[in-house]
Amino acid sequence: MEIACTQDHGSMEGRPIIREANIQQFRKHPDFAASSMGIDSHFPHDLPSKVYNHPYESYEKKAEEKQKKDGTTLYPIIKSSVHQWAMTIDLNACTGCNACVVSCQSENNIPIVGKDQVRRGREMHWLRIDRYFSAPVTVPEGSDKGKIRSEKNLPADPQVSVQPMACVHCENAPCESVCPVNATVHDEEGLNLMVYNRCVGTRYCSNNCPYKVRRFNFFDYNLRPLDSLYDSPVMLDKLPRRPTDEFEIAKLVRNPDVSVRMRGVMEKCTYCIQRIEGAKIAQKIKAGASDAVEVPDGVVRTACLDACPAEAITFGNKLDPNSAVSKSIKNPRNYSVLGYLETRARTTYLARVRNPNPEMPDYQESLKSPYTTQEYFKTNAEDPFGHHGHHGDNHSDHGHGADDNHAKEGSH
Amino acid sequence: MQVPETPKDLVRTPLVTNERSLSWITNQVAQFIENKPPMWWWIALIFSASVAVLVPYYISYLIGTGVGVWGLQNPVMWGWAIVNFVFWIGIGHAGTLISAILFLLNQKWRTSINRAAEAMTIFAVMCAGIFPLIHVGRVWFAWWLFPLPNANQIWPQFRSPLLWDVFAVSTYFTVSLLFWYTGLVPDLATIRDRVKSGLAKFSYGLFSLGWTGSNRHWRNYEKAYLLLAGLSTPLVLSVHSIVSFDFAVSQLPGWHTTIFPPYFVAGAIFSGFGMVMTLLIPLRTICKLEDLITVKHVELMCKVTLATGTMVGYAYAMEFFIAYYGGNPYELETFINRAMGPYWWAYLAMVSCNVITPQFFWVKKFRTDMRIVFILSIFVNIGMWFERFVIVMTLHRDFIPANWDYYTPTKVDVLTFVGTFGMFMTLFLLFMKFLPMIAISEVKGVTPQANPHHKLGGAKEGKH
Amino acid sequence: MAQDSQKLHGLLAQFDTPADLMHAAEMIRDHGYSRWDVFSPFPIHGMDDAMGLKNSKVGWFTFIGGFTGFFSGMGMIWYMNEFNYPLIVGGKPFFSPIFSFPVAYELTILLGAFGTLLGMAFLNRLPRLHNPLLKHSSFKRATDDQFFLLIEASDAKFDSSVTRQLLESTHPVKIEEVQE
Repeated sequence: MEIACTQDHGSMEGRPIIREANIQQFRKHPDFAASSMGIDSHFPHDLPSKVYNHPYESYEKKAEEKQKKDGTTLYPIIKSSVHQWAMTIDLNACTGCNACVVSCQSENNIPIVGKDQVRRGREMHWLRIDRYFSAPVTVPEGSDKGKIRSEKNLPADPQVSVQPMACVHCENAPCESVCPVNATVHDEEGLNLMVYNRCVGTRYCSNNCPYKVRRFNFFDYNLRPLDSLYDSPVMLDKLPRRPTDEFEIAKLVRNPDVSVRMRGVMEKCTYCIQRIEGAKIAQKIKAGASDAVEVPDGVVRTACLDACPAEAITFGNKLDPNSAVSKSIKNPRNYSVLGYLETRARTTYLARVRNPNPEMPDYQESLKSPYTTQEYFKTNAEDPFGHHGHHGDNHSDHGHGADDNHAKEGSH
Repeated sequence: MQVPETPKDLVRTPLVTNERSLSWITNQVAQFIENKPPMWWWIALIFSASVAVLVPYYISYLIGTGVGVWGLQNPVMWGWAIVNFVFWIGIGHAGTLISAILFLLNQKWRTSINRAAEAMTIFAVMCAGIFPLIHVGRVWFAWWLFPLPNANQIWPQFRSPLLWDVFAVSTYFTVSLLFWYTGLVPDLATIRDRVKSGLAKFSYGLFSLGWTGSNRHWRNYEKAYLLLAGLSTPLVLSVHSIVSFDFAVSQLPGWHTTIFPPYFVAGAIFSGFGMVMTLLIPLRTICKLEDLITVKHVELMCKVTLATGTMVGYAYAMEFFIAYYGGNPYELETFINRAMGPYWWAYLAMVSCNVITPQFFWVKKFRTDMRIVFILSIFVNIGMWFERFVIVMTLHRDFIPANWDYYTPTKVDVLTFVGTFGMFMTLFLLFMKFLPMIAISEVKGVTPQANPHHKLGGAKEGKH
Repeated sequence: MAQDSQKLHGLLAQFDTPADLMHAAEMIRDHGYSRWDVFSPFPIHGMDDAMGLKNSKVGWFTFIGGFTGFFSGMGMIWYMNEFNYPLIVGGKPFFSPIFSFPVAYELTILLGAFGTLLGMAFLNRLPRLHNPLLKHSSFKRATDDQFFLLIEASDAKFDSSVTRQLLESTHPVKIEEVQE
């Protein structure tokens, strides 16, 4: 019996995608995720010399100068000085319930593709919950104790780590530079835009996305019944279409604020741009002739944020230092998945901190590290919580002393 | 003054064996065009044309139903189609190398193989060009990749290697066609002067532009040929480099390496020579051209194949070494996965066919045995297809393990590819029938009869 | 179409070997003729000097084509990606000669190739489908294995007997009159 599953791989392979620590490790190094794990922890992020400037940066400089000179705005606006959207996802709060996935699907008219297509790896969900299993690297007890674990001696209760992943809206989006027709470009508020009517469907953007969050419409999922996806239009008497009454009911399901994509077109998370634009329009109407066009914090709620029962997702304006998302970004647990690629993702994650219960029988074992961190240690031959756990710290002269300020309660 | 007699040890193997005369060369090449086509040609044409029908059949199914009829999925968004594209473009490169680069290097032996090799290039590029066109989701908008005004008033994005590809492959096809045509003009005149009347005489007359063999014309012609060769050389090097940029400019571990341009170019020449030998070895026997495409020619082609195959093998080793030495864990795991992961069988086919097979050509006995060379050339092509397959399959396991999956082609993928072979053979058979397979004027030009300072060219003792 | 009412196009001498043709060409060159040509199935080494011809000008057409190609490529990309419709793409600059290079380079080669071929055709005055020589029956072997030398009757120094004598001194296989 085949099961149609979207998560086909069990292990995180020792890669620092989901970064976790146990509570004692966290207290010792609260910013372990960004400064001790991953290739990005090995180099500073504000390197002085660049080969070129991001259009955002060159625009900002020129716009500032113009503002100083005659107080006017420099058009066309390349970078907005009002809104810059960002999102954080708190892996500590996330339970992997999938409510966000369902909500995103309803909000954005994501088509249902059917079991057969899901088995072929063509699910259309813009937001997915990545799920990894992990186990101690060496077998803790029994006849194989001390050996590197293998298929034979996988534990009965591995640890599970989950991570919701959608388009992270990279400032240096790899997908944008490879689209030959300008179907994916960046807007002035930090969003990576997907222009459905320009997309020709070369799928290079998906190849270049390191997060693989882009979804391609392989068939007319909306137009055809799911069991006639493969039928050739020339072989039948008429084009395979859903019956008219089914089609009309399906229209009622759709969100009128979001388009329905045809086959051959790429799609992905848009930070619910329809909700952002709706909020901006409402704010402009309220502002009238005044300059108060900034949408207050908390007004724009993306569908996934709306549905999350644990409030794991935070979304808002990065330019506003008091917004929830700005505070979340400053959280020491904050890190960027695959940050070393310098994609400058707008969606960042808050690392997970596990708090194992001392009453549990496996307590001694789990005290060392979460199993994914143990796998990371083995694969990369470094212990992120070891003596030289701090890499890439710009203020290298502070050394370990800086962390003692964070470790307020408890100690080693 | 006559050229002095060469010492016996330094006598070069003649490029046209058995001391054939100029008119023998003309007759031998033109007879295939002038006589009725033999039965084997008809059978081969009907067979390859029927196989070629698969191409329009499956393409119309693809465009009518959707890209989903192929085996693609998330994350493997490019599959057989792009493998086939790179495969066919690579094959084309041998023709341009023989025509252009060997010309600049003054290698006279190129003259009996360049016509067929350039024809092979043009047909291979035609087969290749199908794939980037049809693999897009919305083929009816494929024209948006060209910088043409459109209703959205938006332009293409020139940072994308796919756009560079559009220009590179179009230029490559056009320039190859122009170069091939330029070389054909004097030979079309030869045919024009031999056919009796009717449509044949009109067509050959039209396309030979009224060529008379005037030296004033030859002077400009030779300069144009030299310049076209000089333009085609950087062209062939750049086209496959740009095709390699489709991969190298992306972020993926295993793709994002600077070794790709030279590695791809060497591989292309390698696979192209494999295909040239696969075509020419039967052709020389069947069409009785052994005195023009001699054993020496085949030997020299084997040597080029050996050299480029060794370069490809070196590239494999160097990639692996840098993945290990470079310290990027994603890169190293990608390479280990290539050799030992789910596609290990493709990797094995690639390495055995590309690294081991050409090494047989160190041995003169193997280089001069036509049957062995033919079989090895087929392995070269198989190996090079697998190399591109292994490269594209890097997509199946990249940065984030949750995305890892396994790609299987569907029958549409496979049969479309088979169809392109039918298309290629059909075009080649038509070429054999209607156009001179060997560059008649060029071959004549390298015989001793053409050298005014040689005894056979009319030079007399003591006279200037 | 009586033979004598047709105008004479020129005298055609036929040779067996390229060496003979070259010596003949040198002699005609030295005698100061200008409207004459030699014909061979392949280009003969040293014939350009034997005829006193200067270097071919095809290269200029190639250069103009290539130059146009390169700068129009760069210009087109600058216009499209920076001037007319700048879009933020991957955080990259709107225009850079580096990312524009592949396309401009290919256009250089493409227009250079067109320049070469069209330049050659132009300089050779080809296509010229109607040529008195092509009607001449023995001329067919010019593209096979024989070598010809034609002195046109319109040449200033042409004289039916003097020119014929000169040609005979070069020992051709035969000399024929070519009619228009």
